Amino acid sequence: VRRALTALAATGLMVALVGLARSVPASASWGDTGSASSGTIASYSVPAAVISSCNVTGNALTGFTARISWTAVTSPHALTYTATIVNLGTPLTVQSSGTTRYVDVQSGLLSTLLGTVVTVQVVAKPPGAGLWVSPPAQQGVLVALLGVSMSCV
Amino acid sequence: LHRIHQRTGPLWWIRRIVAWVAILGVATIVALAVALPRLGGATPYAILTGSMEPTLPPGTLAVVRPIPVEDIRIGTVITYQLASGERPTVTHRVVGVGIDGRGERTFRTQGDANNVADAAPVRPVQIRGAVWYAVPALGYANRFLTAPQRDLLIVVVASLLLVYAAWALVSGLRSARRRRAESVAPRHLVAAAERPHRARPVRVGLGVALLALLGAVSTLAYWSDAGTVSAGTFSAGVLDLKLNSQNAVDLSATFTLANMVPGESIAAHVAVQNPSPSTVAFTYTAAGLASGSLGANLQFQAFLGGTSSNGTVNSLRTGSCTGTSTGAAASWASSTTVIPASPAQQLAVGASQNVCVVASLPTSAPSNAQGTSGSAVLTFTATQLGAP
Repeated sequence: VRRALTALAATGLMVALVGLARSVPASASWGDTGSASSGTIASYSVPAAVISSCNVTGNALTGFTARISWTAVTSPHALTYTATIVNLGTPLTVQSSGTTRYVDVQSGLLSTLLGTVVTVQVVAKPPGAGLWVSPPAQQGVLVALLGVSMSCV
Repeated sequence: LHRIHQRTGPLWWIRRIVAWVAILGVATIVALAVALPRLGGATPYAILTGSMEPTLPPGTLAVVRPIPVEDIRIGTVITYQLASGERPTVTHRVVGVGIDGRGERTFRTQGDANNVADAAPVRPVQIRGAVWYAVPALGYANRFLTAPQRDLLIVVVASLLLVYAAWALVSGLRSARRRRAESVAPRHLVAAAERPHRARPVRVGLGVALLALLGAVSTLAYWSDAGTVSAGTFSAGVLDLKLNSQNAVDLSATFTLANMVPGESIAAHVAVQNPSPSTVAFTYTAAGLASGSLGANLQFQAFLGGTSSNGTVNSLRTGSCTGTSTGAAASWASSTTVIPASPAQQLAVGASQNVCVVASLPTSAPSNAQGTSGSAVLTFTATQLGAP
């Protein structure tokens, strides 16, 4: 009987040992690294329009027109252009002929600025909705007093 | 006289010595593995892998007790949860102490056998304690038995104990019956006849050794229940993270863009691989870092399991990824976690997973970002999958 009790006690002790044991696995983990590198990502620099010509046509009776032209940049990005009479804040319509872009400045637009040099500013913008613009390209136009002449300056 | 000679002869002494060695050995094991940790409020952890070699080789029983966070210094070996509140734990050495953006102390850890620090900093809530003491080889048997084998062993040994108990009960009753029948015999002769053939210490020793075996195996069973580490993890094999079959991959052939304007993007993907003959499954994280003036203006977004494609939409070059996004597009101007530790990205041996990245220049990019350049590096860190 004593030996039986000993064996049963051993079983009980075993259960107690199992209950007490609280060994938990822990990973002393290994590691390795690797890297993936990109190439160079470079941004575009929007070039300013290069005004190639400024020609005045018309006369004092019908009015003068100054046509300011430049060549559009189409590669690597097709730029769009806006033109403004700086003195008035008035936008001008940019027209195209092939790769040539131009704006016409009517002397009548400048009736309040006779005798002063007005500045036409052209700015390029890349495609997309971004904020980037080119440095402005500027062309001065002078309408003489009384509107008797108009010249590019 | 014959019986007295049996109890003092060489065999009797050998049995006695073996019994006492077993008793002392088992008592030591029980004290170190169960009693002392219990009394000290500590928890024993079985070290399964080799990243803390030679300090804590696999099979070591590391007894870990709680430690105040402010007492943890560089050099302290701590046990921490891979993710707060989850069971998987790692035991590594603290190699750096810092403060995060919330003013909370964080710890950089590294295995003694690892070449690099662990990717993710450890927060105080993850820490289970510091290693108090370690007993080599106490958990070593875990290597040699599979979980089903351990379960079977427990059943067999427990059954043997019960059979022994039944046999002892029956034989005891028979002896009692015989004693009653022989009650007329001289008392000292009856006692001599009933005296067991084996010395009592031997039986006690065997019993305790049996218990120790059971206790140890049961502990292992507990480990087994808790662990999901495959047998392959135990081998001192290879953990080898590859990217497109290389350790470091240069994506300049596909992940390069010139004359980028706001609204444009480019995408590329890389295969994260755990190639054979690697023997260790791992989880991995990734951190991105962009450099150069343009790097600060670029936004990156990563996708898991996808591939990249690049085309033109509305005159803008546009890259895109399939797969599952790991988060919103973000700057990598400073090192940024792209693939976090949780949820864990696991790669079994031989497995591969694509990681695709889109780099974009947002339309809000300032005009002074024109004419600049940058690049990016995505660093992957693999950690052995060894947690239960």
